[in-house]
Amino acid sequence: MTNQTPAPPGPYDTMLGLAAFAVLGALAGRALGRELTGVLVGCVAALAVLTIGAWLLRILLAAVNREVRVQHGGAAIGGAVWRGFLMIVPFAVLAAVADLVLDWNAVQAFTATAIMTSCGAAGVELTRLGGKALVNGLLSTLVGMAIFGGWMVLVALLGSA
Amino acid sequence: MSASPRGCAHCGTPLGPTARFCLSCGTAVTDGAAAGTSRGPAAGAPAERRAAVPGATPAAAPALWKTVVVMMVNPGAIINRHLDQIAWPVAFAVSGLAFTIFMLQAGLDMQREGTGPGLSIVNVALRGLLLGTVGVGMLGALAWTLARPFGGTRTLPWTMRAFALGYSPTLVYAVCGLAFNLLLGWNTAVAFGVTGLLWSIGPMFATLRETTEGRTGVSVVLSSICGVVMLVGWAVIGLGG
Repeated sequence: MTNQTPAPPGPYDTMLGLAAFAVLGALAGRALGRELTGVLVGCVAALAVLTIGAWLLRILLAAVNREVRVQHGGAAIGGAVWRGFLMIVPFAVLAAVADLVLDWNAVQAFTATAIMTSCGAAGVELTRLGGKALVNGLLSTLVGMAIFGGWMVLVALLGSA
Repeated sequence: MSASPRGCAHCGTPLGPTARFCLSCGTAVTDGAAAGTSRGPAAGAPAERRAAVPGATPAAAPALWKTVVVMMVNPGAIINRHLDQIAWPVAFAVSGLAFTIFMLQAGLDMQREGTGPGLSIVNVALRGLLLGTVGVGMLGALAWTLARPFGGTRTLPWTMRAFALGYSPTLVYAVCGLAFNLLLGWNTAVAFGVTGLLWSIGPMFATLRETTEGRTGVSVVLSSICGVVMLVGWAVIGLGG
């Protein structure tokens, strides 16, 4: 296991993760039918969901990774979460290509996989830092499901509004 | 004095003098790895290679089904510790089978709905096989080429093998989707096929991180490029546009 203390999350990590999820939000908003309003509302909703989701994931992972906090400091947890959320970037690019170039309407499939993969990546990162693999894997998967569930509910509410 | 008989370091199956991989379990044979005939950890496996990888510990490759499942949840573990022991035919069998089954579902869906470019199911499945073997190999070569400027020490065959094995999630989703498609008559190409294809981005990212000496930002960019190439390749070659 690699136990070197990782660098704390840079502002670019956080901004890139948020921007990528905002792109997914914009595509979901666009799919609702109202072009500009839908895109803007989708962006804002995505930023809100990911910020809350990241906070929730950080709190819960910090609670079960006491050894990692002691050994590497609390910033390591936030770093792992935001580095994990960088994984959203390829999915956002793919979703944009699929939606805008190939004209497929499958943005929610991309969003679901993006959330689950990035949350899982955060859990794996903490396992590499010395956390428990099973606990981190399960918890990050559950939080990923919760974030995607919240996102689906929000999109459905926006669609019916 | 005669040389001791060669045997697979993983399963103990006797090997021919020129064998490059074990026909029984698919473990790659490297110099020294096949010296013994005992079952257990690869005593003579390329330890110096694994020792250079952070977090790597010498261990025998797990069974293929375990490798496929672990590639879904923690691809870094397989890529760091066991990839050297997995032969290229096994890795490309995973990606080839994944794309063949995935495209088979697309063909079944299109036939059921009467949509698509009018290709036969066999034609669509063969396109999947082509995409999963030649296409994935070329994608691995592209990724390796793009990663060269960032100082990675991984070889081209290693990268291609990792890319091919990275489609393990696609295989799992494709098998599940095919079962639902045939048993319940559902259209599963998007729900299972595309989802499985997207899950392969995780292993792809882990491979690229390894190929670029841990550069996360570069790996994100290269994953995006490779993902788009595969998506467009699937749309153009697999589905005929």
